[in-house]
Amino acid sequence: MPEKQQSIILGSAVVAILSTSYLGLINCLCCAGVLVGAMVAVWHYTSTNSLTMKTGDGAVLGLTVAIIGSLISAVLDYVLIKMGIRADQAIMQMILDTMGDQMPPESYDQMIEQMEQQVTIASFAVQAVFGVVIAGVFGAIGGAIGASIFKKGDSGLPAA
Amino acid sequence: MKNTTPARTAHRDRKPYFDPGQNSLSYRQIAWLSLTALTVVGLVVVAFLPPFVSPETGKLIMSGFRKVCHQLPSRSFQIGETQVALCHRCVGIYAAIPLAILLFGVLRRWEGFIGRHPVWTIGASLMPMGIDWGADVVGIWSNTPTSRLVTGTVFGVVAGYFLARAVVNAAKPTTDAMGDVPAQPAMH
Repeated sequence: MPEKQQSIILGSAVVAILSTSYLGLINCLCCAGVLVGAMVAVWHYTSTNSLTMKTGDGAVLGLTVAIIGSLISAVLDYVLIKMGIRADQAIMQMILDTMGDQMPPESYDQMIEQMEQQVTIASFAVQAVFGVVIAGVFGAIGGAIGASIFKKGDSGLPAA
Repeated sequence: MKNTTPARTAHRDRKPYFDPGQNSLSYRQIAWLSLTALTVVGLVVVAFLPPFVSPETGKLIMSGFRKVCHQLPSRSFQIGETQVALCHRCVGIYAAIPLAILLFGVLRRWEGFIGRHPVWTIGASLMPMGIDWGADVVGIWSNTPTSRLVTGTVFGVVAGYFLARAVVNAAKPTTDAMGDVPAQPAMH
């Protein structure tokens, strides 16, 4: 089976970029950033090698890029937060500005509390761990979907 | 007169991805499906923990899911006065994934269609969510917790099915040239 490094690097980069800072908002749409990254990796692999992946292989490729991408994204997020760029606060502020007047007072207060919450190493580590697990699930789904959609030539495995 | 060209014969003779009623899952496949389902069930359980744990732990759990869910209080389940870590739609999606794995034996009856039309299947599963959200934004429909939960569940079932078939495919003991699942001994 041809090497997958390039596809993994490309897919991981897409997942990392689409999961970092403001762009990470796309993951609120069914983990779309992770799904897209996994599908890009499968598309690149099948196109470059002109083959059809089995859905199982696609899922494993998607899982791999999702885990690597979300780990890179966690590091990037941490660096950005340390630089004072708090995308989460900005997004919540935007929600409060646009929808705050329709919210019940207790919900409004909850969001203010969430905004004022400090980022600690513990909260960041928990976020990264959850991010990796959830991204892994959706990466596998994205890879499986990608393998079903992007079919080129024969199956990647030689005949048994 | 029937068309019996080689291409059509080959297409007709090609084994389906699954063969409902004949293929049974191996222990290895069932084990991997169970592990996958339990992982997602675990995520849902953890997401519902904030009302039952200390505020500090609850905040940690909330922050854990923040990257994948907007967690708007008005669009999330609340137990007592504390909201859970996932919104209505996300709960539907996450809960439906293990449900699809559990119902894999039933859902794979439609494998023939899903295997041939994956884009349509995914598109159709996303459509209820899109309509529910879009109609609310435009102002012709006010979505409700139930509509968000149900539309999320529709997508979750389809996503879970794709995940389940991939796990079954990845965990099969041997493969043939077409990548099809070979016949497994029936489990009783």
